[in-house]
Amino acid sequence: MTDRTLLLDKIGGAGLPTPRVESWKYTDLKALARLNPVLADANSGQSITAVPTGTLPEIEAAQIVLTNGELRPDLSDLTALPEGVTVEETDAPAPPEFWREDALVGLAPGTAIAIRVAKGVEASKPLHVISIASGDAMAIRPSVTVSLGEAARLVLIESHIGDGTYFTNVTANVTLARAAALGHYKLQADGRSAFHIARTALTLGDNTEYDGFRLSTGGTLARDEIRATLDGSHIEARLNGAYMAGDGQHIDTTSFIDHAKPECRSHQVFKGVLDAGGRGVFQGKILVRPDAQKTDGYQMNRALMLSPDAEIDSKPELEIYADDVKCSHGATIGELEENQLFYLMARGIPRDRARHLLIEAYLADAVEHVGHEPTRAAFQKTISAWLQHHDGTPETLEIRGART
Amino acid sequence: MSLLEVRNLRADVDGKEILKGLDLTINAGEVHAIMGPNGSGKSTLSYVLAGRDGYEVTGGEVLFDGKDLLEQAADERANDGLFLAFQYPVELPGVAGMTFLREAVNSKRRHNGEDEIDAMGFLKLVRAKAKTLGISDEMLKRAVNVGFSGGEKKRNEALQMAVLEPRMMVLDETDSGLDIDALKVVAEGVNAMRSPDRGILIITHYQRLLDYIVPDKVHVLADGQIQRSGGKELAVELEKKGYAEYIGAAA
Repeated sequence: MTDRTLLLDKIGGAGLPTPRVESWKYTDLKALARLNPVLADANSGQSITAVPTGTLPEIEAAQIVLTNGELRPDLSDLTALPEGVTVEETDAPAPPEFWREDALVGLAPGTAIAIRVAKGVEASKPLHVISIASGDAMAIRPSVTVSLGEAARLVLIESHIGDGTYFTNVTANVTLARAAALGHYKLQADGRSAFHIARTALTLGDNTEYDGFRLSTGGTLARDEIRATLDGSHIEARLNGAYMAGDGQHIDTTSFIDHAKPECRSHQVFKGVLDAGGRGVFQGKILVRPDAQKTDGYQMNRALMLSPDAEIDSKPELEIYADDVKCSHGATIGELEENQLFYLMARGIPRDRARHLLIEAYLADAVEHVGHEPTRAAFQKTISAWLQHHDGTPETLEIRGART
Repeated sequence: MSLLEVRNLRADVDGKEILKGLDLTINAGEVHAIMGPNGSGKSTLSYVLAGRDGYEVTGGEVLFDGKDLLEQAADERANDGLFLAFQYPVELPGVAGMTFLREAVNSKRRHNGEDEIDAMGFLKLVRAKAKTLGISDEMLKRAVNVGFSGGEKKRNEALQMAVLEPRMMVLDETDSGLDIDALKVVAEGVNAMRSPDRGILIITHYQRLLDYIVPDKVHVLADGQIQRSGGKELAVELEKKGYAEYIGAAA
């Protein structure tokens, strides 16, 4: 019972971040406090008896399934992992220092799923970590740590889906040893009444390559926070993404790229589509420390507003202490162009379909950055499906066995 | 029954009257040309026919195959067989040429209650038509009109025409931005579309295009009205004498 009240205490006591904290200025957690979630019962996820299809990207991969935050060996392919890859439950690592001050960190789980790829191993197929949630006014804490040994290579897909008014407090800690390469693709398609707060910490070593993409379409309130520490030289870090928010959705992407050593490149392009009643937040910061000469940093946030009742708050920041760097950032806001819509309609394409085509084309430009082709194709399908459902009835996810 | 019948058409743009009672009748199998000076209402006419927002019809009517055209949205007009070849074809970044054509063809098929087109058959059809217009596979894969030269854009319009097989084609200043070789290719594409059950309306400032697509009738548009109609020799006369007398008449 003490465990179940833990969350209440944290929210009521130590307190969630408020908009008075600069990095939470645009994302207010009042509604989460009102929801007053309690930790999900141990084994509550057992009522989920199958991995739902439809919303999840269809990619051939070894699946690691968590239900309500807990590992489900019976739904996972733990015995069919690619050679050199291990997956086990371990104690969760201590949260990184930059997040220790925060009540959300206090909610971090005791255990994590640890994925390791041994030195020199190129995983023969992708891993797909799937977090499925089902329940109301409950909190779950899916947590993953990923470590790649020297020169190891892996494609990791991370998907979040669910049904109910739950709060998922996601943590991911990724460490790449020298010359390792990770493709890390996240789909956040949590239920439309869910709260998704995710913190991803990346620690990248010399000569590593990180290809990241995050597609966010779910939740009533979602915050995806990424902190990348480029703790080596000759690192190539690509952190791109797309987000789509409709009525009653608030989707926040907050990134912090810490260039600590010389001659690294970081590249971020995020594109958002916001419809009436939807709000997007993008906060991106690039820090270039005095040692990080020859840094090449790029950051761009573009938002497409489908309605005058949509909102975007965009805050790009550069903080540079080295004198020989190439850094740029920008933000744009646009609307669908009438002359393009008319051109499509003049060829017989109905207005709604013409809008979808233009939105898809707009986002394709971001999705193109996904380095792993099957994931790129799957994410494009996710976007098309979202657009179709979006104009009709909202998608409801059927989780077999979950609700009675 | 005539294919396109425009009766006493009046239209405003931004509250200013541009078309001031325009009459025009085009029968199936005929090629008409409308010539006129800048600002006479040529482009307004093409946009009003195609159904662009922002062009307010204040009077008159347009019948397309006996049906009230102005009641319909732009996509319905297109699917009924009206095709506007744009003076400035619009760039669509991220929309591949093939996707665009397939969407257009399937929209028309759905409109007519038919099944979507078979993918392989469609590819063959488009490739065959593209070849005669000198359009490469590479161009079809690229985003529509993005980075195309003026000639490529107009050839792309001709390809859309050939694939969609409209019953009434309106060519808005198709010759603008074309060198003589590109002009010939596009004109051949249009001539290949001439047929007893199709109407063609060419809107142009210059007579040049009409050397290659010979019209049955020529009309002079000035100050929002047809000022004079005649045969193809009228175009030659206009080329010699200019539009001065019509601008004068309108003033």
